[in-house]
Amino acid sequence: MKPLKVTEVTKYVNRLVTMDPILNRIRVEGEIADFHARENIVYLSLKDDASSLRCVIYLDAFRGEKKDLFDLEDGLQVVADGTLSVYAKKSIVQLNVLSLEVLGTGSGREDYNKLRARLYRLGYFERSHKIPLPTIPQRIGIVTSAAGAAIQDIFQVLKRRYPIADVLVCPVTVQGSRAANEVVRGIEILDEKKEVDVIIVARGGGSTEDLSVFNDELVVEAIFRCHTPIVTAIGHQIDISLADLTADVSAATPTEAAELVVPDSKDLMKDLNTQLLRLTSSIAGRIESNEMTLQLLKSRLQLKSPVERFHEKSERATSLVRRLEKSICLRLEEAERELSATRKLLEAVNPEAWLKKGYAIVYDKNDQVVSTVDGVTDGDCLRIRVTDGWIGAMVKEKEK
Amino acid sequence: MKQSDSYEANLKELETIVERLESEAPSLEEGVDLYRRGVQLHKKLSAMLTQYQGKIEMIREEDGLLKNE
Repeated sequence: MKPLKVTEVTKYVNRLVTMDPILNRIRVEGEIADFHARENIVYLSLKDDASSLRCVIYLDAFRGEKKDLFDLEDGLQVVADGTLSVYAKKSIVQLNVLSLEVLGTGSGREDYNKLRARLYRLGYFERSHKIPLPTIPQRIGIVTSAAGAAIQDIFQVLKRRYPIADVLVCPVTVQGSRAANEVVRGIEILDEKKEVDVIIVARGGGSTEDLSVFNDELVVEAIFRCHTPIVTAIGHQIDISLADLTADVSAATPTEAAELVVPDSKDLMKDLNTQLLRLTSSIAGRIESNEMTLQLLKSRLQLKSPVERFHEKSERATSLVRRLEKSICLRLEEAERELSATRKLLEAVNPEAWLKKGYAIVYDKNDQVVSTVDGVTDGDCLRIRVTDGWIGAMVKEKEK
Repeated sequence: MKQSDSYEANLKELETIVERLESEAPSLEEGVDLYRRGVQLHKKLSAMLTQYQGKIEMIREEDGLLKNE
């Protein structure tokens, strides 16, 4: 397929939009934002909670009172009449406004719109002013009518989901001339004196008049000033009150407000059990790893134990003894050999052996061996030793 | 209820104990002590969830007295 040029795309989309019988002439309700006026043209956006629609008003084409256009301001709720088209330069869909109606031209509605626009400019509805709700509130303050269904709805939720918190109720009148003052006072008491963690300002449904107290500037200001997070449950969501817009969180019904404020104790119990599980498994793991370390130490200890060293030493001793024995044996054998050699030597020099061969030994009277002629004189008695006994003899002569 | 003995304060302590036991490496003795404390806290918190009933007070501005319902 041949590629389209960008302009061709926007032209095509524009054709689809302008030919659509619904989009060709529509009425759109929304809140004015980004309002700015030039000489012949006015730019603004219409927005609701989720979306924003760019609008342009060409003064020449505008069918209403042109000078009123310059009284418009951000935050006003209006219904714009016109045709949709595509602004080709930026490929955005825009509403070309032909007529415009500020909602509720009646006095109440007008006051509401003016106040709303003013509070908007003052930043009352801005996200940056919203205080986050506590996750686990301990004390919950409630500003509501003691007689209404709202308080019962809230009690029911708290009892079912979250029996922990203390509940402080500031019973107030929510209709009539005293209502605004009482609601303001209730918020102030809970905020300043009762140390509550969160405040529910509630009212159950009703006609527009019944809700007017929650569009009262005093009430809205008290909510804006309050340091404690506030959840409002004023009425039906289609009747968004200024109190709802200013509150940190706005709920559709008192029941929803209570549910937003407290956690479910069943969930808390589940979380709690998870913590216990983690606790138990981490201590079990710790014990197991300690056991392993212990086992390791034990085996290392065993290697170095005295018993083991004794064994080692005794083995050494045994081998020494063996070596000793061996060397002694060798020495003995050697000694024996030496001995027998000596014996043979001795035997060789034994005089007895000589006697056997016929040699004799001559002793004088003093039993001294006679070995020379000079040792004797004639007449000396001599004793001659032979192999088997003695022979007595006398010297008769001698010769040298 | 005292602030320090609130459900949230006790839960915070339990969470801190669990995280310490999981991430750091205290001695075994310390670990066992932490575990004991953790179990104690769990018991206490469970009891709070199941047994404790919050009080309901009605505030009367006229006389400044607190009246229990």
